[in-house]
Amino acid sequence: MINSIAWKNIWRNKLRSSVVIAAVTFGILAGVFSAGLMNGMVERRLRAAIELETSNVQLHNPKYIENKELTFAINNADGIIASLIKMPEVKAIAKRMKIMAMANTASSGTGVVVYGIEPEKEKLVSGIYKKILPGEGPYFETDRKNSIVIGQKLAEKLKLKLKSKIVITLQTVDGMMVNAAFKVVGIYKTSNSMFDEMNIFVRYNDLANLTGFNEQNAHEIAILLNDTNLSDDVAQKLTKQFPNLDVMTWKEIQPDLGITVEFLNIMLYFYVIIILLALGFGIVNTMLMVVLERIKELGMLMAVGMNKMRIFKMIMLETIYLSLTGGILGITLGIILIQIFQQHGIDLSIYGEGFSAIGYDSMIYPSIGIDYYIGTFLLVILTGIIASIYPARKALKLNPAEAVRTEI
Amino acid sequence: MNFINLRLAWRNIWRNKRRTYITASSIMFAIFFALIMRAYQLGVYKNMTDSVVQAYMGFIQIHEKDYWKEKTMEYLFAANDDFMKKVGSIKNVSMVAPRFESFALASAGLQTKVAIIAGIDPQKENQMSSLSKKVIRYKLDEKSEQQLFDHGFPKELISTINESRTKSFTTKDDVKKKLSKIIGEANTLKYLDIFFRETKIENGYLNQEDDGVLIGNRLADFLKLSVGDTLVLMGQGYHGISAAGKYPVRGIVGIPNPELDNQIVYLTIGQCQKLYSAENMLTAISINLKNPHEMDQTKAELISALHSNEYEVMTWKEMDKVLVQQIDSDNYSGLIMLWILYVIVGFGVFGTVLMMTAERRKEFGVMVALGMQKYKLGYVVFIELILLSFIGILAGIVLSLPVIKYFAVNPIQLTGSMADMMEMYGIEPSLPFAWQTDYFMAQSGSVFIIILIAIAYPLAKIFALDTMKSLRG
Repeated sequence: MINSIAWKNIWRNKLRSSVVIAAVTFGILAGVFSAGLMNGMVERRLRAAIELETSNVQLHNPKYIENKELTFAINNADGIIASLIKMPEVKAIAKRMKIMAMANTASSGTGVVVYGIEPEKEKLVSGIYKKILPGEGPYFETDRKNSIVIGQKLAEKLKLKLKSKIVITLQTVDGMMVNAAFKVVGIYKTSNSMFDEMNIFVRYNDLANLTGFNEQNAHEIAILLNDTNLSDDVAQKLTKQFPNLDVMTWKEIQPDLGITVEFLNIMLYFYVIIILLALGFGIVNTMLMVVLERIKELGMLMAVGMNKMRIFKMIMLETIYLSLTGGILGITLGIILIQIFQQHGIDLSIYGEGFSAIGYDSMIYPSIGIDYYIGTFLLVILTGIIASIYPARKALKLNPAEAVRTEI
Repeated sequence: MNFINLRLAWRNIWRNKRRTYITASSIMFAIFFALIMRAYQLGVYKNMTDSVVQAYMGFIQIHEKDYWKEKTMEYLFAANDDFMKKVGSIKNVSMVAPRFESFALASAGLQTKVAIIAGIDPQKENQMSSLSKKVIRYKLDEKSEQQLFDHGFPKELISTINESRTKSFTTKDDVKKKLSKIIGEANTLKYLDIFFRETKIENGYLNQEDDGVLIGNRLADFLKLSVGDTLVLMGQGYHGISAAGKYPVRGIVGIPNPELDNQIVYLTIGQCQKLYSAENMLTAISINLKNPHEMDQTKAELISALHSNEYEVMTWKEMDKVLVQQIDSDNYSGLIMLWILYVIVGFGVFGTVLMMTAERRKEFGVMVALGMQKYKLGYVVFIELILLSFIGILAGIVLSLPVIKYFAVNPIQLTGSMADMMEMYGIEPSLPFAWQTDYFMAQSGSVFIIILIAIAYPLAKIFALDTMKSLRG
């Protein structure tokens, strides 16, 4: 009964209600869509980072974290891998050497991180091999000694082409500096140009031979899991199992990404709450107007015996319906828009250089979980309730005898 | 006449106080949020550009043509006094400093790291980026921590200082100021002398003919170097000649940009040219400006003064495109959020004025019936709404001023992983708010425009007022 009265009341002044509903629709649509954009961007970045850069969990010698020295290695890495691969959560494992070095060519030189990898096993953990540019190399398909795979950004910087020679200068186990020439067998490009500029890949045994490093050992063991959400659990287990190793999840390896993901939800809701706060003022304003306009009518209703609780409920329901109509419209339009752009993507390559410098793809595919829509929906209802309190209280304070006599 | 209208409008808006308060407060809220957001964003951008431009790059640089793309030894140029004088004579140029920049492996003991080698003119560089003010004179490291502890400095305070990440200080005042913030004034006064004594390091700046180096604070930590130790540099010189040299560390400098701080080694320009076997050659001339806003104009003047195709003249915006784009894209997302807010406020104001005109139709009818011209009536209502928006905007500004001022003077210092993240992007982990007038004007202006649009409709309604009908309504 009260429900339908409240709903009908809204439409007694179509223009006014429409303005409020339009405002809420616009606000929610804008909020949902921009949330979809941000979330889509971060999700893509996250997937790329885990697939190409960090995996889910990494093991290191604790000293290596502080100081990336050649000798701070994980002893008997092969044995550890053999025991880890039996865990049901684990999808794939690879061991790596990882050393800072200078890369020189005839024209110039720069600092790089050299990864020593076992190409076949590495393929299961990292997708770098998929990112080789077309026509830029066989990757490690041939058996040539001293092959190297570099990023496109580095290739540009050092003016390297496929089959070019590059000289790597690094420290051996006994502290000597050695030089070795490598031949480029692949050039890759990820969406993170910082990564492309810094990281180069060579065969594990080439690098181990060059530095005198024990082939059983490794600097880094990268573990890919079946489900990213298991990262923290697996990390905890491993910490117990290998107390003398440092276990890091992707969140710790790339703290910026971990923070971004963790703060993202807060950020998304923060935006919607600010928008709803602004909308709230408009709603309160309108409802107050509604009450003041209908003083006589409300007085009449009280005079004929409608109790105060019901009056309160009626005003509150009107407010909630008003905001909810806009909210549902906004969310629906938001879902439609997000779906449309999810198919086609939004190209931001005009600003692409800036995005890729901080690791983000310039194509954005907006997407957001169902829980966000539900959360927004609930927040809209909450806004309606809070916004109704003041006007509804105003209505309650009316004195029926006086109210009936009021001339508007 | 005007005065009467104004008074009428003023009285009108206070006839319904509640409505005035609500409308004004929704405008105030929008302005408040917009200003806080803007102050924060602009502050971060300024911090970002400052840490690149003022601390190191300079506003404009001159290189051999194509140097910036490749940054290799193939693009060196010789600059004689004439050349420098010509550059210095341009009106807006305040400072000209020669640079020789390259990479090399820096090693000390068993540690090796790729470093940026910057050959500088110590005196000129100091005028340009106040490098000598960045020399660290007091530093808390493991050794001094132990000594402090032995002299009765409480352990909790040491760990508080460690957590704050502020462990290096340039002057006594700097120590006093920063410590007071971290461990409180009482503690600072109590332990200040011990702290001065135990953390002091003998640190110098380079003199013109110095054969030593200055190194970044983080690099020093990594290489475990302190003043007086020896640093070995190895790299590739001019024409592919191998470059190697041994240098005593004269001082440690704290560079605000963490990425640089992690890599930088300063030499005198003469030593640097000797190291790379490139006598009298430079990679760049770095230029500071008197008025940064005339940067593009100055660049044009420089190009025409040099009138040669052998050089390239670049502003920092051209050199650090990534930074500019990062700022731009962040700026856009911020602006979008602001405009969403504005539009919502616009709807709110629209709703209010709509109601107001509907409510006052009878009153308007009476006024017109009594002989008030419609345009005058519209004028009064217009003034009412303008007054209302001014109240809202002013209240918003007044409310935000203390907040912005506070954070402009006391920037939020980030700690923990958030700070790590900022440092990874090469930005100092502090968030000062921008304190400048332009965005106050811009925000107020935008809100005002939105409000003007929102009140166009009700005004039109007044002009279409049917006197007879409204009198009866």
